[in-house]
Amino acid sequence: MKHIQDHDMDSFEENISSIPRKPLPVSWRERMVDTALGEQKYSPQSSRLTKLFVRSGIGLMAVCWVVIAGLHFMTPSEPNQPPSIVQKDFSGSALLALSWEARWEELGLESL
Amino acid sequence: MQRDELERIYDEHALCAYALFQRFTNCEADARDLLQDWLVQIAEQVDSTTGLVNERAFFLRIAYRKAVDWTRRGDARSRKHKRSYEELESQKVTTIEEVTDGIELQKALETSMELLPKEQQLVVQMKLWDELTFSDIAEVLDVSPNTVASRYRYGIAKLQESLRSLYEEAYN
Repeated sequence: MKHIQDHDMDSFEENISSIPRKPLPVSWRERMVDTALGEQKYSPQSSRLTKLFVRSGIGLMAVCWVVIAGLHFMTPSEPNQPPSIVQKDFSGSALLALSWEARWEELGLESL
Repeated sequence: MQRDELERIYDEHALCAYALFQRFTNCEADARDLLQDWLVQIAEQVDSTTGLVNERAFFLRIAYRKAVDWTRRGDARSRKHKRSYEELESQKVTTIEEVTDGIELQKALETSMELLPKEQQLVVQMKLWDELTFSDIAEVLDVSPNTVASRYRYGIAKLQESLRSLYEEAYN
């Protein structure tokens, strides 16, 4: 590895490397630094807004869940049995039907 | 990051980063845009440069990743410039006489550099002008130092070959 890291340049490499590169336009420096610092200033602001937005969203969602949970516990559960009046009516109509059937049989008629 | 620190980074490393972007984009406007993005990223994400073993390698690594991302995006603009690059390639001269005849060594060097594969261009550039060691370059490009050394030797051999006559004229 040492021979790789300590590579000595020959005269060709030395001479070539001494040929200067075209410099960057002078006007770029200030403009680019200004832009970079401007973006940097803007960035924490937008970051704060994003955080605020996300936190508000999470808070709103939590409130929604609390309301849903509250409604869930406050609402009475639906009865498993139908209301007694329905049951009564059903019993009454069933009895009436049975009595009619018995009556028809007594009269010797065929039941429907 | 403070303004004076950012200005110092620009003064010391922007030219190297720009040269790297030029190698990828072959377009001054795109290279300039990438340089701006590079500086914005440094201003936003680099709090301090203390403790960096090799500052230039660190900043060139950021530049290299940015350039690779740019290449991968492959947007219409990139394709357009790829086309213009291909046009440039087709116009390139291939013999030593054509490369060096009647033009300055600097221009001939630039043309010869463009004839190299991009991997060799980057390594030669970082070694000769950015003054990085093979290990530093290996870190920037995320390859082994042996690979870097190999690419460098191939690149230099090709440059020597294509610049021979003009080089001898200038230095002998």
